[in-house]
Amino acid sequence: MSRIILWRHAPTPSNEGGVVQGTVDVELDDAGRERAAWAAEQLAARFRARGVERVRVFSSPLRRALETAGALTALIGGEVVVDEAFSQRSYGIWEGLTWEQIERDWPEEFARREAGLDPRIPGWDGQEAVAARVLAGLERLWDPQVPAVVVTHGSPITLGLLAAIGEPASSLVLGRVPHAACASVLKVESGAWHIEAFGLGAD
Amino acid sequence: MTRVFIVRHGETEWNTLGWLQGTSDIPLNDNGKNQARRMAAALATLVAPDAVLVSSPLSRARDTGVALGAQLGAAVELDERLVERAYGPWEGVTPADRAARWPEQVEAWHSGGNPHLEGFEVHDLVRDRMVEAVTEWASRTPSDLVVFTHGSAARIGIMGLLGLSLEHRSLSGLGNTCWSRLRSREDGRWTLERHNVSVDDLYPGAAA
Repeated sequence: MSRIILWRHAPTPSNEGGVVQGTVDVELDDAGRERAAWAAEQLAARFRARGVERVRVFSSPLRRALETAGALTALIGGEVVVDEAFSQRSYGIWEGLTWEQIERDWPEEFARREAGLDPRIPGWDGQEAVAARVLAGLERLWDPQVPAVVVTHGSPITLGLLAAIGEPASSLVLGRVPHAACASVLKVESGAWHIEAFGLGAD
Repeated sequence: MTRVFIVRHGETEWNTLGWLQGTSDIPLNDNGKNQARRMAAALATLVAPDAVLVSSPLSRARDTGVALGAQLGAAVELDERLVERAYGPWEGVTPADRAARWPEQVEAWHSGGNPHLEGFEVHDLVRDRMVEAVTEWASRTPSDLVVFTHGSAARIGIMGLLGLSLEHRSLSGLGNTCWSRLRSREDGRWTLERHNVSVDDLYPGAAA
């Protein structure tokens, strides 16, 4: 059975400090690299246990994702292929700020985001567009024979999976996969997407 | 805010044979008992110490719940509404027999629909009783609720709580002693935070 593993990048110092990254290209620190290495071992062990011989590895172009993906190819070999469909959305003028600052200075727009709506701020990538590009990426990468691991970001995982199961991008039915954790999705015979697991490798 | 953990029972002999159990009361096998102990040791560190435990009365679910109850010093309440879907004549039949004798119904079922089969409990009925039971128990639980149930009942129940259409299998069923975690939101609806997680999927630093 094939599957696509959506793997959220390991945490960066910005994540730990509650700073919004979006398209800002932050690297992992030692703690993040350790999380990536642990998660990579888990994934490799799972593929081994299932007798999977070939896995394709894709990544968002951002360094925190590429470094996380590299932890897996260091174990199983192969190349990391960069795929723009799985990059992080732009958080516009919120990038570089902490969520605390945002909640204080943009209370209404922050509340919109909490309610599943797009905040009305300059530069923000709308959720419908993010959901559509991630789903298009999943459709393009799906191979019923060869599984894929895609290292990406929090919003693309949630939005892409919502689109895959036909839910609107504003839906709150799916939470957020934690850093360095995974979701697993596959396409069944009817052509429908099927979420196999969500939030593996966390608590 | 209530969190609900929905846990599938451990392995039974019929699981290893691929037979549908439904309302047949098949006990855990030795592997299933071991799975229940491992799940219990892990979940005991993840759920609130005063978590409320409720189970389907079928022994495979109840005994899985009792493993966590023993860890937490908690009783396991029973609720009939958490039983497995009735599969009618498919209970205790091998998959090959099922496919040979009911080809059209098996196809309807695999594509997510209801097979027309005497005694088969249809999706809507399973969803309604599961959603009613979980919602009711959650409303009385100030901390975490842990529900012990079955493969089909858990999947349909979770999809029902989330308000997902039952037309497609948008969510997979849970593996033995795997669980999902849902959180109630201020608007009274539910968010799926974890799905189909086993004790082997936990980050070692994650437990409280």
